[in-house]
Amino acid sequence: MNKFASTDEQTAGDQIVAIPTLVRKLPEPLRRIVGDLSNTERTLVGLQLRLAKQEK
Amino acid sequence: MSKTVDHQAPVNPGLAKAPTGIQGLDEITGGGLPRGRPTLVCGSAGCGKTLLAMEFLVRGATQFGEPGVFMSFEETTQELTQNVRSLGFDLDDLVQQKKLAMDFVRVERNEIEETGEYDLEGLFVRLNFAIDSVGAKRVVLDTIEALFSGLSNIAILRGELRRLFRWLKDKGVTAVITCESGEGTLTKHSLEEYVSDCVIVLDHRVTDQMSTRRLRIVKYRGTSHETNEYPFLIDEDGISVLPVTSLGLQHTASAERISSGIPRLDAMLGGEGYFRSSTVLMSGTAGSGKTSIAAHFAAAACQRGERCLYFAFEESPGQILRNMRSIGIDLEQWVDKGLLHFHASRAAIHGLEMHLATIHKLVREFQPRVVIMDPVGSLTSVGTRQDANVMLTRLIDFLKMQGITALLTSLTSGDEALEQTVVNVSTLVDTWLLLRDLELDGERNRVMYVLKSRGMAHSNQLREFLLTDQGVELQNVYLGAEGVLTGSARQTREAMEKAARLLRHQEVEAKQRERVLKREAQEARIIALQKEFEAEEEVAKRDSDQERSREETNRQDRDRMGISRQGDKVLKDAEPSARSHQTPRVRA
Repeated sequence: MNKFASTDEQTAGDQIVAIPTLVRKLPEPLRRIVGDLSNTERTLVGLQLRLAKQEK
Repeated sequence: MSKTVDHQAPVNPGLAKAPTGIQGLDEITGGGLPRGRPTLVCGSAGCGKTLLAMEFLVRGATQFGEPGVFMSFEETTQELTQNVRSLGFDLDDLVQQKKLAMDFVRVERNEIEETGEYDLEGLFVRLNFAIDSVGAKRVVLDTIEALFSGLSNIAILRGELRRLFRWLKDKGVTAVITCESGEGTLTKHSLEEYVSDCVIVLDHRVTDQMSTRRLRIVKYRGTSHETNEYPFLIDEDGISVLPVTSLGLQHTASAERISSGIPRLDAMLGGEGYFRSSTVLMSGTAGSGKTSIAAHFAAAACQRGERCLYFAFEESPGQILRNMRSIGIDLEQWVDKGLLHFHASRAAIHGLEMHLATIHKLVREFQPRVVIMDPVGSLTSVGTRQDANVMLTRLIDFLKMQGITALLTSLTSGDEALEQTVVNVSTLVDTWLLLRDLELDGERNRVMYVLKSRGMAHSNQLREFLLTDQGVELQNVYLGAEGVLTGSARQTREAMEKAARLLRHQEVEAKQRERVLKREAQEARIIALQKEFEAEEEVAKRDSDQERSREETNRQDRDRMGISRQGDKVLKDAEPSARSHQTPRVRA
């Protein structure tokens, strides 16, 4: 059903609750991008590719 | 597992129930939580939600053969394990035995960026995996509302939670969902809209600096349940709810009588003592001998081989033992034999509920036939009078239903009416002994009377009693002009009566002696009279003999005269000697 959480153990280990979730493990800090990424702006902010302040 | 299910078959066949194994909770829910349905447990922070849920799981796994899943949103697995270890729950062991699966779901707001539509399928997958891994029948979601703080899309969350609860039902697991209580609503996020089968509210209130936890079943669809608030406590054995359902009047009345330990007091109580499983109240002023009479009762119970539980709220066991030894009651031997158990605690160390629970617990463990509480009045120092009343009512009912005879002592302070107890339990008790001090002639003496005693003919007399080396001794009753005589007045009266008795005795003896003498005199007279009579008889006999011999002589003379005259023949009645004397004369 989803390509991110393929096995049961993985969902627990990566603390997946919502589907779909994109986890950025490195570089620290860990980030979870929840949702279908339809909001590109927030996705970029979430991945810390863009500063949140610039969003406004 | 199915065996336990059958065993716990509910009264209502329409709704199966999963027993919680939590003391008292199954009683008030009529068998447990609705099987296969979610139950909402809500309450403020620190009111015991997590513990209740955890105990439900652990008891299910250990006692009812139902494995469980604990999904925590707030505490990590390690934290939880440590927290409940103090209650004797070894979660690690249960996890190893595949009786329990635990999962910590971490939802951190600062880690999460929401970028569009999503669902909580991840949660479902994890839950499903956990359930399947142990074959769980019970599921706990501990504070699922943590999701609301981590995720901001309320619409999605609500929709997904609704789906989750539906899914749990379809899965057929008995679920407990805990959540925070909100302002004006049962839960902060109105989860009660989705979970409508059973809602339990926990509450933690502080009144007069004493905290009390309470539990209430707000809703239980398809079953009758108690709607009152029940106090509950958390101790080293987990949660125990105190069902007020025991506030019943269904207890059977025993006709058996048991001795109070004081024979003359038994005599006052219709000659046989108290009724078994009745409640006896003994109220009195300070130093009126309440504990001594209670000790007599305890000793009497132990002597019969019955177990006695003594709750002391003001004295330590050692102190009671020493004091009772001074009046000749050896309680120590019964303590050594395990028949007498003291439980001493200051009333103020716990709240009333804790006391009640302790008493319940000890009674269940020790199984006594006699319970003594000395004094119950001190419990009012803990709660309000009303609370103490409710608690005592519950306690008395509980003891009665167990068939336990209870002796409660109550201190009456000087400024109160004697017939008023500190706690208004007078209507609940069956026998009420009133002890008081009588001040008379510069003395203070102890008296007691039976104020009431249901179901028996009891004495209406005021009796003085003494605390002697042989224990409590009831004294004889002497009535004077001003009522009952006590103390030295009684002793004076006793001495006077003794003197009078002696005098009377002496008089009687003197009279008796007199009578003996009189009889002896009379007997002597009778003998004298008899002698006199005999003498008279003697005289009479002599007279008649003389008379006869004189007549004989006369006749002989006559005969002789006739012979000499040669007259008539000898008279027929003549003497033979005369005849023989005649014949030769005829022949001649």
